[in-house]
Amino acid sequence: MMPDHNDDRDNAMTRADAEEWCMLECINREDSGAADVAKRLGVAKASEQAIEHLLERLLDQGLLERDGISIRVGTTGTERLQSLLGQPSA
Amino acid sequence: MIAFPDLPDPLSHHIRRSLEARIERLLSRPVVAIVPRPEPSRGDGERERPATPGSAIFDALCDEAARHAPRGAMDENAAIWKTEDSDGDEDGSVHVSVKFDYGGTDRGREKEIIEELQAVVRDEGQVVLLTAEHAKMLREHPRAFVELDARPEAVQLLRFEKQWHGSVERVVGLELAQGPRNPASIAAIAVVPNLVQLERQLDALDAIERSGVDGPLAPLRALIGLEAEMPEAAERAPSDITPAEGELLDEHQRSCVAAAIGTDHFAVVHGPPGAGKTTVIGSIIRRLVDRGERVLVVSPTHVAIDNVVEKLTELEDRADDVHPATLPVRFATRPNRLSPRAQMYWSSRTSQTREHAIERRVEAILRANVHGASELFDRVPDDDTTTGALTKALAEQQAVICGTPIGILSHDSVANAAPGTFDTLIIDEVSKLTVPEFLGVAVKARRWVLVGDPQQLPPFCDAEECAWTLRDVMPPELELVCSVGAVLERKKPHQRQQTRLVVVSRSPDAVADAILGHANESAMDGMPCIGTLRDAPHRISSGVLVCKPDEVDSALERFTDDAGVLIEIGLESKVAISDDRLVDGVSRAGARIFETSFNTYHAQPWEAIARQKLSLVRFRKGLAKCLPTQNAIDKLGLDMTRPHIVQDIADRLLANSVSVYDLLLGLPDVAHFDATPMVELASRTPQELCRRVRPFTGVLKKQYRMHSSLSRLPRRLFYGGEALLDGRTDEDVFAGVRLIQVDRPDGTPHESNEAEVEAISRLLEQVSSLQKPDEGAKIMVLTAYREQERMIARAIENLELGSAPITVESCTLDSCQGREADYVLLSLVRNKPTPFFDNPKRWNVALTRAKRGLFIVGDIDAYLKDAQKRKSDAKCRGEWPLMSLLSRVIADLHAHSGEPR
Repeated sequence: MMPDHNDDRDNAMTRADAEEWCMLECINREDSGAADVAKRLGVAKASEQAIEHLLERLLDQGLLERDGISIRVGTTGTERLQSLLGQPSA
Repeated sequence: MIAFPDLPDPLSHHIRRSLEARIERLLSRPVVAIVPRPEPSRGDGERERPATPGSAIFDALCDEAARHAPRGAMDENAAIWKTEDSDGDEDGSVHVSVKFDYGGTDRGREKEIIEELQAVVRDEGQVVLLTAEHAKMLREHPRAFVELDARPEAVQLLRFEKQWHGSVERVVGLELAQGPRNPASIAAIAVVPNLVQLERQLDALDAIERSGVDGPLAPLRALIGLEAEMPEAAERAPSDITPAEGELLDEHQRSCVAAAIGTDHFAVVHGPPGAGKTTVIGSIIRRLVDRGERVLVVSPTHVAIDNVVEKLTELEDRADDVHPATLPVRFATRPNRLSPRAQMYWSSRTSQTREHAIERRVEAILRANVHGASELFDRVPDDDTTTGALTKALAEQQAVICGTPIGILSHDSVANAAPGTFDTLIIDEVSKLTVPEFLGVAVKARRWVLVGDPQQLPPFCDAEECAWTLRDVMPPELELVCSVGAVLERKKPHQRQQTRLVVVSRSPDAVADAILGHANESAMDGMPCIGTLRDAPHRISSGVLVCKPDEVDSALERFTDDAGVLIEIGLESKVAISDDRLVDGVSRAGARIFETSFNTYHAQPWEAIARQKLSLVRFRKGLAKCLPTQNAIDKLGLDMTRPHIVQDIADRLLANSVSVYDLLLGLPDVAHFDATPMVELASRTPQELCRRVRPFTGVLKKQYRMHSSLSRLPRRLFYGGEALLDGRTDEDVFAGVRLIQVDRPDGTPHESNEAEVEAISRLLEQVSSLQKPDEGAKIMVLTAYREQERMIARAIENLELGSAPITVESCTLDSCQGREADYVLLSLVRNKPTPFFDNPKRWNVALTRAKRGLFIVGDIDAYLKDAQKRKSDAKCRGEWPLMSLLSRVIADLHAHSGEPR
């Protein structure tokens, strides 16, 4: 599901988009809690608090949905990924 | 019936009174400059207004009219604000001519104003533009002015212009970053007193006094004497910790970390130079953050706090670590004083660089761990200004907040935090913080780790400023009598009799009697005649004449020659007298008490360790003449006793010039002192306080900075051989101390020495010409005097280091604490010892900065001769030698380093 590398300005991406996509990509691969996401992102365990904070924010925005105790990419999130990448999310 | 002795007021009382007095002092002398208006043209409504009952309404209408004046009038006023475009840059800055209010009576006010403005320019501070109403309010009701909701317009002061008026230099013009929005309404420009720090300290005191005995601030209540007992606390600190992977800590460092993370209240770590304080602080922070705590890290110096930030972020290059402890926030108003690494974590109220630093680390982590992330980040344009969600989330985590006590409290997230919000406050260089300064930030936490070294620099003590804190302890007449004692004490007995002094008081008879009584009780020899105007019907050549404010001219005429004038506090505005006749604030009793006590407190206990006498300490004998005597109190009819007043003075010293470290466990043994009020200060039951507060303590005994040849002398002279032990065996033979003789030509000024600057330049040129210098060597040039430091800094600027990987910096002795360098060059400047040099703490700092080489540059021979003479004199008398500390240091170093060359 990788975007084509392209120097074309039209294909540019904001840093905010890039970070968000990485987060969604992590969650998209596997239903996750903050600890799993922190592990998949490779950040230290002590940063879980920040990840949790961010997940809450993405949940509020509707990009993520809570499924019991785990989290998955919601419909809005999937659409967002598609618009960012210009192709269907895996 | 049992009579209970009077209990002294708790320390909190003295802190509150001291803070209030300091605020009063700042408000009493606002720096205000009048902006001269153009000559009023007919009918422009700017004539002087008579003070009539209806004038307030008229004033208000006039001010409003000025704001909407016809264009012609506006242009006339606007012409005062000249645009600065002489260099062709139209940057919006303006020049305005001003006339400062010197009050007509204050000696040295010109210098004070220049210093105040220099500080504003240096710190890129602001001045405020005042309407006539504002200016009047600032003069008459300064407190109300400072609390105005609608603040006057503030602009940045870029520089100022001076002109000589006779023998004094006065400020005549200001250059501001921009002109006023409404030039017509501006009548004056002022440097408004900044009360924020003092008010925050008062707020902290309020919070502690209001808090419950079981609340998080209870230990602080015990510290300042509001509680006799502490809440339950463990008796003993855990003695050890298990080091983390890769963590190298010696047994003393581990024990200090254990004490800091194990305390429920206070932990105190004694950290001599180079003993790994920063490593220990880093280790403490990581452990506290790991257990989910929020930590404030504070130091009074930027260097120390930057060292902590650098220690926490040294793992930055490891892309797999985004740990809250390695993402500190470095709060400061401006980033320019911070180290390059600390600047990466800088944040102020309005801007920050920290987020970008985090952003870079997040990007590196994502590129390394998330499939496809690299391709995505390669698509982010260089000029992208968005902040990623993950970066933002991490940046919002402020588990470790670092800053100076002022910088950290200028940030809302700390300033507005409720008492006890943060789990732990770690303070480095706590020996430089007074108790009120400590409380200002301590109130935000619930546990306190104090790291410092009582053998290094103490809190800064401005004796004249501190003297204000005695105003409610000594009534004005008593202060006046003691100030006469202070003036006479400074003179040698044969000069004392020739004193010519006019003393101005509300009650001349009682004060004249009291001066006589005071002189008798304090056993002052060679006293001049003392009396009122009635006692001197004819012209006199010397004496102390006491008179009322309206009799000053008559009193001055009684003397055959010029006489000085000493005015009772509160009567200054009633006496018009030329500046150069007034006895200034630093010569009055309050300032002399603070200055002499401060010097004695820090030097006298050292005499016993070093088996030597310091001339500085001998000045303590003069203290008795500046302190109230019972005779003076009785003659003035005051309902007070000398022991009570002296105890209050000792407590004010404790509140204003003693560090919180010393208060907790470092007050010298009372046996070291033989003079009041030092005896009262040291006997203020420190053991009782320790029993009450029970801090966990630890000492870092080994040093890892200095080559063994450099640590030997400070270890023996300042630590009694018990700390500053060498932590590693050094094989390096290219290390040690060298003394470099530079003759001091006649006529060399007191505070600068061109010959030494040239010698230092030659040394630096030698280093810069090396083909293969040490990798990354750092050289620091130290001197005690600012003027010399400026000259050395200019010489360094002109030095051509080429591609040599060497950095050279200059620094004064008082600002080098917390710094280190591979090589230190020390410029002595003078060839005769002065009391200023006799502070053991200052010399301990100077001698412990170098890692490999210390080169002392100056008239070494003069100091060696002095030491030799003093030692042989003392040997004959069978006493400890009375000599300067510098002579001692140089003689000891010379004995181990060979002949000077």
